[in-house]
Amino acid sequence: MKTIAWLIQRITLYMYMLSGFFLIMMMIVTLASVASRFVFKTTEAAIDFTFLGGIELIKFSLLFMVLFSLPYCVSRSQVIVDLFTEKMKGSTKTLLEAFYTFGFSLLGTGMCIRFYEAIGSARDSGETTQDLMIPLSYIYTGTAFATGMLAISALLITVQLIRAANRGTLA
Amino acid sequence: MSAPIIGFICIGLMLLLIGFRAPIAFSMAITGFVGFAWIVAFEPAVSILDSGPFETLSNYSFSPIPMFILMGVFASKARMSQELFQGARILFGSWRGGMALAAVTSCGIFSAISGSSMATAASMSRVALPEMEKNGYAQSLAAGSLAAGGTLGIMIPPSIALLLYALITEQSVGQMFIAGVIPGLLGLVLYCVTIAIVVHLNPDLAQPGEKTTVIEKFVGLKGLVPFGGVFGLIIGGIYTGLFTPTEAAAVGAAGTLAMRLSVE
Repeated sequence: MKTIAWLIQRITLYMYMLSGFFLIMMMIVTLASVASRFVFKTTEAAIDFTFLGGIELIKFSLLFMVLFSLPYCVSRSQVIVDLFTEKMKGSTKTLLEAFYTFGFSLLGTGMCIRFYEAIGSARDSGETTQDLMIPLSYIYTGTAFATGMLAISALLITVQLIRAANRGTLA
Repeated sequence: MSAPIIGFICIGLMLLLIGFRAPIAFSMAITGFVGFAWIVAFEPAVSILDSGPFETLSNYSFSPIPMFILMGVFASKARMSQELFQGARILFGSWRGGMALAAVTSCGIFSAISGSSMATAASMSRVALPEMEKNGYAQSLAAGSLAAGGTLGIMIPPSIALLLYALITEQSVGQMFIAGVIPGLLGLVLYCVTIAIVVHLNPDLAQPGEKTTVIEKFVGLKGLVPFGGVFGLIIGGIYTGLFTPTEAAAVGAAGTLAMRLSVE
């Protein structure tokens, strides 16, 4: 169990780092697009570095940036309001947290199943993106993987929280 | 049951969940799902699980949001918040409560390149709160002025909230940003006036600072130059049509990254 937990944590960490890469890529692609357009205009179209597909690269980077950061951030970046639960015991709070984290696991499972189904239909129809002609089935495979990892990571955290609650500690 | 009543019930459910320690993201997701399933049907609600995230997250219009946040992170790492606070502190000099005024002013200016209230409050708190505590400021005044100052991020452009509002209501992002300038500055001035009145009525809350000369004040203003540059580039670029919001966010983030690298 410990090895599996370690492996999942490592994978989610690498996905989180990849998410940062996608963010930087968004910035670089946008800058390249601005710079190439500027050169094109100032040289009156003599030098043309403008390229097609910049918008697609940015929008799919945004998609993967968010989805790849979710499995790592699911237990770290939540905003919680302690309004009616302030006086609850630590273990009860931990159990509540486990319950909600399990909700994320269910959400991730539902999304993963839907994306998995979308892979098949995109493959059958041969649907691609408009500019770069990337098969949508590839994109859906990436999203299914990310949401699947969200489900697994949230489930693992749920188990850890339940164990912590049984030990009577606040997670 | 009519859709508005279901809507009210779902909002109540969401607030109840939030009050019971449910993460806000989870509360909103579950409420949206339940509400949609109730009004339409369960099967279409399930189908939103793939189409909803996919369409929203791959929407080009939302791409400036992470880049504005990135810009705020670079600005924070470049220690621009420290320089800003020190500059504002020198500017207010020996005024009683000058540090609280400097904190609110710094929050307002930092908002101009951060876009997020929470990022502004977090960045400025790290710098200003220990300084105020060290100089004998009451915790209520120190924390209150920073919390209030942080809220300016939602109004002073480039505000993520205004950007989202413009996208949802299909308004011009540039005009929306420009519309936020005067209310944002008004908020900043009124917060400063409030601090001045509170400190005047209860002088024990804050201590006077060190006296500074006009030349020192002038030199202190140099901390504002990078903020003015980035702010002018973003807002000027969007408003004049030189950049789209996404391009302005990327240029702003690259500019603050360059400042971050120049610090090292």
